Amino acid sequence: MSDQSTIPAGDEAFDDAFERLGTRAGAELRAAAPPTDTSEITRTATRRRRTRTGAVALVVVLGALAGIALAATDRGPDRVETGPAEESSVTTIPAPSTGPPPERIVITGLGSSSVGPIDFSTDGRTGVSIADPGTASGGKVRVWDTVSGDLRQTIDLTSRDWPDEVFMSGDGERVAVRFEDGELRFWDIATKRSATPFPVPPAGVLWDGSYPQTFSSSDGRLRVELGRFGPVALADARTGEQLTLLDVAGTPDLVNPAPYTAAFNSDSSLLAVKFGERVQVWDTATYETVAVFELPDYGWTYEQIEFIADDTRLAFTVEDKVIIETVP
Amino acid sequence: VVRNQAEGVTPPRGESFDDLYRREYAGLVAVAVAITGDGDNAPDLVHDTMVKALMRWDRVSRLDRPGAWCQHVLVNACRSQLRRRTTQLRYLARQRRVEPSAPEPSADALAFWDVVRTLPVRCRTVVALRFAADLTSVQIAEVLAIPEGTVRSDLAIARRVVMASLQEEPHV
Repeated sequence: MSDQSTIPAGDEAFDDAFERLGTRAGAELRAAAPPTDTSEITRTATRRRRTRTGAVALVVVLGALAGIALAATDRGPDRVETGPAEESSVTTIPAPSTGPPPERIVITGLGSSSVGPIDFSTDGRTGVSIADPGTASGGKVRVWDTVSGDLRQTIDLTSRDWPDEVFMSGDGERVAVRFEDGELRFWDIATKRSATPFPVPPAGVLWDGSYPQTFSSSDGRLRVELGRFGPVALADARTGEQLTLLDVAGTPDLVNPAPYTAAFNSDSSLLAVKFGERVQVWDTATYETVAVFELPDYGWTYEQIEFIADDTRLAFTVEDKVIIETVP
Repeated sequence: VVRNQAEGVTPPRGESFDDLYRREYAGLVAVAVAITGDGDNAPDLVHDTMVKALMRWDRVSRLDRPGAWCQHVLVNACRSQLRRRTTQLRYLARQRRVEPSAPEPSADALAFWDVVRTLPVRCRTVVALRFAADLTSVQIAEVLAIPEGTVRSDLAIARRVVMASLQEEPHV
């Protein structure tokens, strides 16, 4: 749709009424939120800075034997900062990378402003994401190598509807996008043409702002409930019985923000929860912490967390980036 | 002192973080409430946005419009909340915190925003930035990184939907 040209001219009185109503409604919302002082903001920022000093890239591995901790290794040398090639340079689809992945890869430039939903092939070598969902162009599907960061393909969505979810087929040859209106579209990655459908999970339910947030494992066995101010409760998804309250590293407060989002791995043996820029991973059988690590602070909200198919890596979306972290 | 960004007032370089906070806070909370409909959580989203702004103040303060940076970060956080999914809807009692008393929005205002929240995410975000943050179409386009024509288009769609819906309600 091309902006105003397709919009019928409005009645002036009608337009004025909308402007008046909106202006008043906006003013009333602002009046309902008087600013306090900045002391709490300052305290939080100061404490976060202090916490990060020497803690960024801190990796703590707690083994199955309690008390064993491998601490504080700066993973800088292992990081790979890379970006996909420009779209125009993609003439062939390179084969996925082989060899061991680095401990951290930051794939930049996956969107001009934001990366939407992501998914991965069964072998974990290929990722798919939505670039700039909700923008005028409707967004783009980008397919990329999870080890080298190379862009493999770009598919224009050309839809006004918001792309809610993206899926990659098990063989890594097709992608599917579910739009806000529930429509599913399938593409062949190599040809960018419509493809035969493949099974995708049922649509989830949009979070309505209530707490606790819940996330279920894909096998339907477990569920985690994230409380607003910190508790992380693991439950049996079938019976609803709470199995345990997981131990959270650090006290949830303004420095250690409350749990934000969560993901199970494919067989639900691992659970990862993100608190601010900190991630904690538990073994769901023993309830022991497997890993705690810090993500880079880009000043943006990390939106999605996903285990990559081989379960040794976690992917996070932030701004125009996907960060893939090897679970210690 | 609340300065209206829609009037094109550019914050003076070298303004303090306190100035930015006082100028932007109410508008940011209003935008968060307008987009998410969660009045309890909106101050937390704004708090986090402001902490990020303060931690990067040496950079943010040099921007032409630090408020636009805050709005961009906040809108992303709001969108993130909207996109997160749950697979079941059994909730425990909601914990509430005591907020400073302030005038509640009127029934008309609440009805307006209720209808706005039925719009697609981008469209509702545009309306929130237009009225809750009091931004112009140009400024909204800048915050959302979309063409100004798209902003006008979304506002036209919103106008049709909102007015049609509210005209059916007796109290408006």
